[in-house]
Amino acid sequence: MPEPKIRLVNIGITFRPRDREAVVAVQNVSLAVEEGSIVTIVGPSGCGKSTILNAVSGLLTPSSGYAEIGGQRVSGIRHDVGYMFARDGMMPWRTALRNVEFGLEVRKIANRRDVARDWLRRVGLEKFEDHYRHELSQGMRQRVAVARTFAIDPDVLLMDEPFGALDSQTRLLLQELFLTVWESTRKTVLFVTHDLHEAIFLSDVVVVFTNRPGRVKSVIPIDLPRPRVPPAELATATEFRDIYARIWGDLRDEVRVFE
Amino acid sequence: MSEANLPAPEASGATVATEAVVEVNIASGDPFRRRVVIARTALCIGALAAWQAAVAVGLIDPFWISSPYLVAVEMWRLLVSGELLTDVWMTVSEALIAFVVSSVLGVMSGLLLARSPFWDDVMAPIIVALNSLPRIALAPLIILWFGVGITAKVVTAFTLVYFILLVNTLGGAKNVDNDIMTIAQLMGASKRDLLWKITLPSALPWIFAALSIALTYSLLGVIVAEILASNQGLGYLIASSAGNFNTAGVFAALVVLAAIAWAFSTAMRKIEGWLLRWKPSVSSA
Repeated sequence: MPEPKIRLVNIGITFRPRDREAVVAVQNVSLAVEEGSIVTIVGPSGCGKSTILNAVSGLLTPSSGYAEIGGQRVSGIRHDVGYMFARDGMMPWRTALRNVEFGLEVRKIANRRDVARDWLRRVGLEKFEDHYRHELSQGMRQRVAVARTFAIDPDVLLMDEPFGALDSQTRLLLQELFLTVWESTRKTVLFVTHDLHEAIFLSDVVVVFTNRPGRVKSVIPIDLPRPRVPPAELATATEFRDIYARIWGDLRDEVRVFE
Repeated sequence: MSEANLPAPEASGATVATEAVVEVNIASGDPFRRRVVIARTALCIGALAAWQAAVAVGLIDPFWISSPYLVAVEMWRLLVSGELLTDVWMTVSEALIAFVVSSVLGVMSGLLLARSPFWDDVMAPIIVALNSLPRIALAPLIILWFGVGITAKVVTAFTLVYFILLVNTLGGAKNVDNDIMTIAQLMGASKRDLLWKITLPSALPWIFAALSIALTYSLLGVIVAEILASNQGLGYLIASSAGNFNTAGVFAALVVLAAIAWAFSTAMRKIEGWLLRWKPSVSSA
């Protein structure tokens, strides 16, 4: 059995705000992501899903336990991870092309213009390379973010509800686009979402988190063949509905606490 | 590698872009512009005519208020004697030196303070106190220290302009989008990259808002210092004309000052429009 690309070992994260009570966000989370696979964490709002990603990227140091990437313990901000949020994070003062170039620029990569242009083409934005953020739709901005993330050729991708802010049709297109791009690179991905449909469509493994403090409730392998059929078609497949029912069964009790 | 069946970009995106272009065209549409220019010209000519007429029928005494004709004659006299150009050159160069020095130092101080929450906290009330001080009141002291030369003018203007730039740059630098910062850091941007490629461009709209005010205040500081103690410059021309009861001379200097201020702000808007061309709302008019 090969060493997993990402490993979380007994991670616990407690926030201690200055004049309020300490909040245990995440407790005792252990998790392994195999090289070249997509693992998605789903869970109720506020269960510490994003916090986990921050611990893997080194933006945050866990209160207990540790994260490993490629067998190396994470301490301090990692520069070999790609990160995507629901917000596009585009620099409004740079064109789409120069946004994609940014990561290559700070890494002093020589043919950055060509690489960036190639990635913009792969996300279908070759005609928009000179456009500024305000001239692009939400979906296009998120395409830029996909290109920017893949352009630096990171070892590991951390995705924090990257399509969460999009309207539902655009989201389906972007999920499909992401998976197509992923198929060609086979990066290791740790994905966070509250959209079960998205989780099943993209993942090799879905991890259900409990309500706060977030713990691993169940680990559900998704044995659907790759390349996957488009999300809209997948929704009607019997296997899909079985998996959906199983995940929702686990998740329902956790979400219900808030109702 | 399967790129052939990539979903196409959403149609809505293309529409967003075209709509923006159409809007701009309407705003700067020809008939509207022409009417604005005509009305503006008519207003100025009307005001001048009324002034001249009031003097002509004896309603006001030109000794105190002068008249457009007398001002024009005085301007011509000053121009021909070469006096006006010397004064304009003096005032403009002083103002520009003050503007550049104060702006550069102000922006640098702002960026520096934004890097250190500790010093920002230490300095905040001090900056507010200094910035609220009516610094024109310092002009006599500054003249005492630096004499009647160019230094006193630049320093007077500096006290006005420096803080405007510092405060705005600091505000802009502290308002950098967190997501952009995080992404840049994760991509391996150095401290230097973050300053030059993220913080500075992101603070640029704030800096430019301050720069256009700064230009006006540079001129103000220089003129005040010239009025108080000088033997050259438009401020001196105003003070000496007023001292000789030459109201036409005062008005002539004011007209030239207004023209300079207008030229400054037009140049500034052009530079701003170009540097901030990525902003949706900046007009390059």
